[in-house]
Amino acid sequence: MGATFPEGWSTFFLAVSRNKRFTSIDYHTPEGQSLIRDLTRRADVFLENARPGAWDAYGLDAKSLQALNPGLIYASVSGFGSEGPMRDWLSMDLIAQAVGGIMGITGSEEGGPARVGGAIVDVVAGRLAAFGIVTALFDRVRTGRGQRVETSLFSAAVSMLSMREVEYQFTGENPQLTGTAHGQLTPAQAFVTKDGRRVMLCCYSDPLFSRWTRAAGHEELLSDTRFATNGARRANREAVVAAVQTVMLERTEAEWTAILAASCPMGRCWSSTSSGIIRRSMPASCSSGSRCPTSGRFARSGAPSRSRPSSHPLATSRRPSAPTPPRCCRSSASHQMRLPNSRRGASSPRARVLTQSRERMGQTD
Amino acid sequence: MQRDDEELRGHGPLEGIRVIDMSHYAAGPVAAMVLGISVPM
Repeated sequence: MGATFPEGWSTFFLAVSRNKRFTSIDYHTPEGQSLIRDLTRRADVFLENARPGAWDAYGLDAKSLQALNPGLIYASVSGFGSEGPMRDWLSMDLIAQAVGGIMGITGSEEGGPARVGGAIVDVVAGRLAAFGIVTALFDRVRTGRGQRVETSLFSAAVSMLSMREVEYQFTGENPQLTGTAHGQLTPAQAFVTKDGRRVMLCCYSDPLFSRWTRAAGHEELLSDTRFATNGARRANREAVVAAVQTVMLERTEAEWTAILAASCPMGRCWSSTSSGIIRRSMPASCSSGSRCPTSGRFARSGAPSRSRPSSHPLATSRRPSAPTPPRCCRSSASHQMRLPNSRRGASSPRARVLTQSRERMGQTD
Repeated sequence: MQRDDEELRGHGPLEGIRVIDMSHYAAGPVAAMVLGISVPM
């Protein structure tokens, strides 16, 4: 399993084998199949990622196993899902990145489409499967029934582009290959600093761009109408990027980090290994260690999400209905959202949502 | 292979849930890993 095997150990196996127990079962044999059925009777979840229908021949499909254990969550992660014309296609992360459209918006005009460096689709599909499993377990508490949970590399890849998909339907603009640059925001891309390091700077709003000019000591840029709004900056992208790059060369990466990091989104472009330096300076929850019998101790990232039981006593509350998304408002306007009172189910103004859109769209008040 | 000290200590929300992981490289083992490291703060 994997592509790198130092001292006979799969590094992928070492990375993902956490709180698991292992055994070898030959599912091609009747004895192996019988053993898996026995395990399934006492299990909560059966997880597989073979091609759709592959387990049917062994009697280990969802229908057969849930007949033995009606509470079983049967979870599948396939390449393209169990339905549709691509059902039987083989896939891997990089295939899903290509077919799912991720590569089509990644890369540069000069170099063409590029694959995201990490196995991003594998990871997202795995997390989507885990999320589906957890929701099925939650439902089982209420109904007692198991469920069939399914996701695919393709659907995971497509799900990551949902914002671009909606954007295209409204604008008709096909996303371009823009390298490190954001397609709609300017400046939002990598810049070189005085000491030759690349840092990503993201001024995703006009106030943030103003903040950057103040921090950089170049508020005179704001008096240039080409720099006044994001729309103007997009229209004059070349001039804006050149001006920002000139300013970014005035300080080192460390100096920019000191004056900007807490006020304007920025960050150095680390390599995946050098980012370990940052991880080691973060809270202990961000990393954990394990031990390989032959290679000794090694580090892995910690649990990316954690839970803590509420310290408050349980209280009965009415379940709120699904909220309607607030309409987009002009930048000076605000939208009051009424949230249900958790004790009485009454509504009271408890949140003020500010949006900053130039266009009014969606439903009316 | 020894498990993480941190994970051995953990008694997360999914403690006791039994998962038969018949998957292989790569999304399936990631899903099982995510379920396995649901640790409390």
